[in-house]
Amino acid sequence: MNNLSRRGFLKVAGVAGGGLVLGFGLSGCGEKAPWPNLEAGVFQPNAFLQVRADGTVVLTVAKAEMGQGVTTGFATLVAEELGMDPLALQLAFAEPHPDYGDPENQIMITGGSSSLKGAWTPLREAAATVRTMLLTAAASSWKVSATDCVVAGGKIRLRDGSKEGGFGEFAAAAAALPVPQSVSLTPAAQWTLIGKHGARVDAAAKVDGSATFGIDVKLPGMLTAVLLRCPHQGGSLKSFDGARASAAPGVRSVFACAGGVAVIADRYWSARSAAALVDVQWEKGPLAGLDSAAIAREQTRHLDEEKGKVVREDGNASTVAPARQVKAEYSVPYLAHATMEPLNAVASVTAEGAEIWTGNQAPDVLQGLVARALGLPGSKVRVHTTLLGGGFGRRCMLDFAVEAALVAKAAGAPVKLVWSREDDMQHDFYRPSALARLSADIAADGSLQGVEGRIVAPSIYSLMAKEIGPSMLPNWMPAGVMAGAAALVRSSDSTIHEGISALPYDLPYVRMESLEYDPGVRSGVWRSVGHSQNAFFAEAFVDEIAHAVGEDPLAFRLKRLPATSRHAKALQAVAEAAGWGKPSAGRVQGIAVHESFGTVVAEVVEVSSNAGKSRIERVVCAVDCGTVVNPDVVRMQVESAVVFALSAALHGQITIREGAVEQSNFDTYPVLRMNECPPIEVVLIASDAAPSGIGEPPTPPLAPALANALFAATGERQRSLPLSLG
Amino acid sequence: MATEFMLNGKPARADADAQTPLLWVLREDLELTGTKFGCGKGLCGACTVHLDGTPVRSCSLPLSLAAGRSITTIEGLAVDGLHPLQRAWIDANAPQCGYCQSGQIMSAAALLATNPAPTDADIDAAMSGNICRCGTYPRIRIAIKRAAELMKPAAVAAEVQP
Repeated sequence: MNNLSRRGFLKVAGVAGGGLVLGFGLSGCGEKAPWPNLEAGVFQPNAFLQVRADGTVVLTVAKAEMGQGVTTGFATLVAEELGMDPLALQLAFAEPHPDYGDPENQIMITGGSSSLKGAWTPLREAAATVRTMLLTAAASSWKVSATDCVVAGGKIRLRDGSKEGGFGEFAAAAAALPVPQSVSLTPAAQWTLIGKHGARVDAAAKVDGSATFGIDVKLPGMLTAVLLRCPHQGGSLKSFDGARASAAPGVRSVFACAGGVAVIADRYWSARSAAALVDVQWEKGPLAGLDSAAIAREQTRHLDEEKGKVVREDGNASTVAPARQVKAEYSVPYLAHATMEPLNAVASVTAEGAEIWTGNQAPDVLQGLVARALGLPGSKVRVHTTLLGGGFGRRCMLDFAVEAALVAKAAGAPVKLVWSREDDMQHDFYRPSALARLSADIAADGSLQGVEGRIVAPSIYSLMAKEIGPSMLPNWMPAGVMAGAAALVRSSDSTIHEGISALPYDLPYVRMESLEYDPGVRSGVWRSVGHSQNAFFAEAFVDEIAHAVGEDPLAFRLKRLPATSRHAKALQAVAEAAGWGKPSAGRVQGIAVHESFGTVVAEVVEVSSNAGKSRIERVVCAVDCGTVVNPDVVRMQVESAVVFALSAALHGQITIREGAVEQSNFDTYPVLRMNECPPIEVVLIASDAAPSGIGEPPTPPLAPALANALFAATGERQRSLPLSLG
Repeated sequence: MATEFMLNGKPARADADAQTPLLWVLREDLELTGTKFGCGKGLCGACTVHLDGTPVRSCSLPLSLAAGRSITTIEGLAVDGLHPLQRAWIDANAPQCGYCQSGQIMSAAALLATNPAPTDADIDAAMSGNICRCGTYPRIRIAIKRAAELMKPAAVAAEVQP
């Protein structure tokens, strides 16, 4: 039995029409404001689950659906407990409310691959409570014991099959019942959906054009806006002449706003064409002298001269001088997210307050930032989250929504702000560039004495604290307060070293230092965050060590991992699936393993070479992400992360010149295409542990596995991304 | 001056400036938002529609070039219910975020219209202009092959018609 009273925030209330509304706070504390989907004058609490009088079950999803399949996952958990088809659930995306905060951080952020992990127990409990109350109501109506009633096929039935009724028939009666203090979850042995269900709940709408993304939202009287932004990061608007643009057909107004120049028109093309007619002068700002080479020099200087923070020191440094050392420097460039849907938001700002419609990864943060920008209380800002045309971390940052709100307020009409691809590429919050210097000491007998590393990168979380932190402050408190918080965050930010400080191998001595250097380039979270570079550094360097001591890269790893560890099991599983050590003729393999977000993924990349050109023939992945709720959705996420990582490993590179991003579209920032996509095979490792992350964890091991395969193919070690296939 | 053309089998007209890319006319004037804006330069394929049966990037096609021609968008792909590609897409769990999928399906439909049994190389050639950042490529490949199978009996039936 799962005891609910310890949470103490289960709420139940009747809805108009005699339905049952039941809500669980995933964050759980204290009295809260009413749930946000109230109708005027009606007390209609919002929650995760509603059963309407017509029998419709509405699941309110408090996470962003950006392709990762969270709606299917949540629907599966709920449908399992309610004995119904996940595809029969009606889905809604939650408006901001404390009850929707992620259990880990109390924010409605979709990130850290935490969605299913966080919902695993509370959402099943919410559904089991609905089931229990409906069964009690039905039993009372039928004058039988509740234990004689079951849910099946989306209905309530007597066990002997003599009676059945829809959920809606008993919703009103259930709403009048006391909420049970504890409920039973369906035991694993009786699961019919968890571990099996595959069909995505969002597939149908995504093949006929009917799925609604932020860019598809249309309001009555809505105008379209584009915004010219200073191309030099940290720069500002010096002056502009909007006369020619204002005179262009369809243009309503041209004005300075949100640090740039807004062009408002009836339609997108009118706005975009007119924007080219604005004569604008920019102040290049403090980064005018910054370019990629200067960043690289400063990273090197940090490693040469600056003291780092020791983030790990285990074991004993050898007192015997090493006979040999393996030393290497690894680096990664800035990367863009390049979601397929360019950033956009629809905003309506009136005397009553503001409403925002947009695909976003943090609606409560969005609400707070828009409220602050407009000088409104948060309660006056409604946020409607649509489907996201990709997120990957970019839509955790809400600059585009704040811009839309400011522009709509100034325009005096509902506005859809649409970024061009060039805007999107040049005003991202990039995966930061990083540099690592690694060394391994090898004794005369060939044994490994220790591994040391120093990594320099910006503190992503302190940069984020400055950007999104003010959303948590009351409006009267200056946003600058967050600078102090950012400094605190910086001192403990794991993003610089996560994934390498946790090097899992049993070694006599490990020492890792992190150094923080922020060149000032906008940086943020990018699918797997610090792991995205640190797994490359760690697992490619481990491969170098293995070769240096003359051991097979798989055997080297297994020898230094507990045999029962998840890492060892993942390595063994991927080795078996890939046929490690015996690739078909003309091919070679590279291997890597990495843990992130609670999940361990091992990958083998197989390449062939011909006339100095390498070709990726296949990628094999073994994944331990705990209990698998939707096996095919997990496979999709592995494929997705591998393709995303391949894009970065083969093509991804954002460069800076005069403080501005040089790339602008898919011609200068190429991403993986169909003809470059290898077959991807996925092995799911059986586990009865609670689910852990899957959206991000298959990303980090790809680059090192590929780099290791290319070394095997060519004998040349590539230590900077992107990698060359020759 | 209005531009007239056939849209998903029906006459349509748009008053937008003749240089306006067809994409924006479809999305804003004609309210067919299934066709997506991705790059504005014909580099990503999210805006793919058919112009007289040929796949084109509507973000780079001026409205004037649609005059008197026949346009098919994702909304008009299936004559009745679902096109075999859409069926196969669902069966293969192809979509993730879904944003690029209209363009992918339109490119695939143009491929199957001229090549009922595409090889992997044919699929690469036809589909490499369509970017997907979610990495649905392996499932798109499966779905295209499955749809080709689904379309076989129909093709045979069509041949035996008098």
